[in-house]
Amino acid sequence: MRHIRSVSLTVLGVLLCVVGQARASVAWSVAGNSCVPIETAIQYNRYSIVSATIKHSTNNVDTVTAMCAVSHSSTTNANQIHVRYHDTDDTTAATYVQAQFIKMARSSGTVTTIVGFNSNSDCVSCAGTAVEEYKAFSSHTFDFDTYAYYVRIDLDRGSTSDGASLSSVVLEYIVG
Amino acid sequence: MRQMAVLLFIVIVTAVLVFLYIETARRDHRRARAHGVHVQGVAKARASRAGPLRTSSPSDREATLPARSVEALPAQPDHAPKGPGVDRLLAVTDSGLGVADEYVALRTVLGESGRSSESWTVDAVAVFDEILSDLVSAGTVQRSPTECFRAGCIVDLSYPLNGGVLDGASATSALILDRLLMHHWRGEKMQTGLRHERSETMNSLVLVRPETLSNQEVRR
Repeated sequence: MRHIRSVSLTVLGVLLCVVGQARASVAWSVAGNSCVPIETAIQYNRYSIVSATIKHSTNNVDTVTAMCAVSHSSTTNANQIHVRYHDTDDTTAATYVQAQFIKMARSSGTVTTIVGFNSNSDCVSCAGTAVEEYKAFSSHTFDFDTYAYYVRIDLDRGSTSDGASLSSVVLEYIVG
Repeated sequence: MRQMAVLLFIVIVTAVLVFLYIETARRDHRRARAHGVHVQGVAKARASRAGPLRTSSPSDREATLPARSVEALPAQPDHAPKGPGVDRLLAVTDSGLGVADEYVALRTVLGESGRSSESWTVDAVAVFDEILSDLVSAGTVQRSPTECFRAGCIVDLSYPLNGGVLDGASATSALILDRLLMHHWRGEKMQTGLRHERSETMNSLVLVRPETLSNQEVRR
C-alpha cells in the first residue's frame, strides 16, 4: 500500500510538472552577437559586438542588418517574439531596432514574413533604456521540411548620440 | 480515513489524465490542421492550368509532386481568422509547390478573395511605388500595375536579362526584398521566387491585408 501511494504521488508530481512547463516554452533564442551581419555592414565597418550585443560602431549611423539562422526549434509552435534591445530615442523614427521572423519556402524560394517587431511602433514600455518587449502573433507551426527560417535584424540611428542595439531575440510558445 | 485519501488521490489523478488526454488530442488536432494542405486554391489552380505542366526546371518538376493529405484541411483556422482569404493566401506556400504553380495558386487565392479598393490598399500601392519607382525609371526592372484584392495586393516584376539571371535578376530581386523588408507594413510581406515565363525572368511582391483594420480602413 505504501509502495502504491509513493508511486502514485511520483506520477502525479511528474504529471503536474509536465502540465506546468507546457504553459510557456522557448522555441528558439539567439544572442545579438551570434547573428551574421550582411556584407555592407561588414565592408563598411558599421557594427560592433559588445559582449552579447550587436550595435553600431562608434561613428557609424547607417543601417546595420544581420541575419540569425533558426536552425531548429524546441517546440512545435511559436506565437510570441521576445526582443531585448536598446533604442535611446524611444519612438522617434530616426532610431529603431527591428526584428522580423521570416520563412523561405524551400521548393519555390518564396520569402514570407511571419511577424515583425519594430521598437518605434511596437514598444510598450519605451523607456529609452535597455528594455524587453513581447509581441504576440498568430500561432506558427514550424515545418522544417517545407521551410527554412531566419530572423532578420535591422538597427538604425539618426546620430552618433543615439543608440540602437540588440541583445537577444527569442521565439516562444505561450499557452492560454 | 486512509481509504478516503486514496480515493481522493485516484480522482485527482484521473482528472489530470483526462485533462492531459484532451489537451494532447487538441494539440495533435491543431498540428494536423496546421500541416494540412491549404488549398482548394492550389487544386483549382492545377486543374485550371492551361496545358501540361512544364517540367524543364527542377522547381517545375517539384510542382508535379502530389499535394499532402487533403483530409487534413482545416475546418476552422487555428486562430481567429485574419481576414477574407488571408489564411488561405498564407497557406499557399505550405504545399511545397514549385515556383510556377505556386504563383498560379497565389493568383487564384487572391482572385477568389475578391477585388478590393479599401483604404489600406492605397497604402499598399504607395509602398510598392516607393520601393520600385527609381528601379523602374532606371530600366532595372519592369513592373505591372498594382492589383488589390481583399486578401492582399500584388505586383508582378520582370527583369531584363542583361548579365544573366544570377548577376542581374537575382541582385535586383535581392535589393527589392531588402527594401520590402525595411518597409513598415502591418501585415505579412511576400516575395515569390524567380520564375521564367515567356522568355522572361519574373517574380512578384505581395503585401498581405493588415491583420487589424480600423473601420475607416475597411470602408471605401
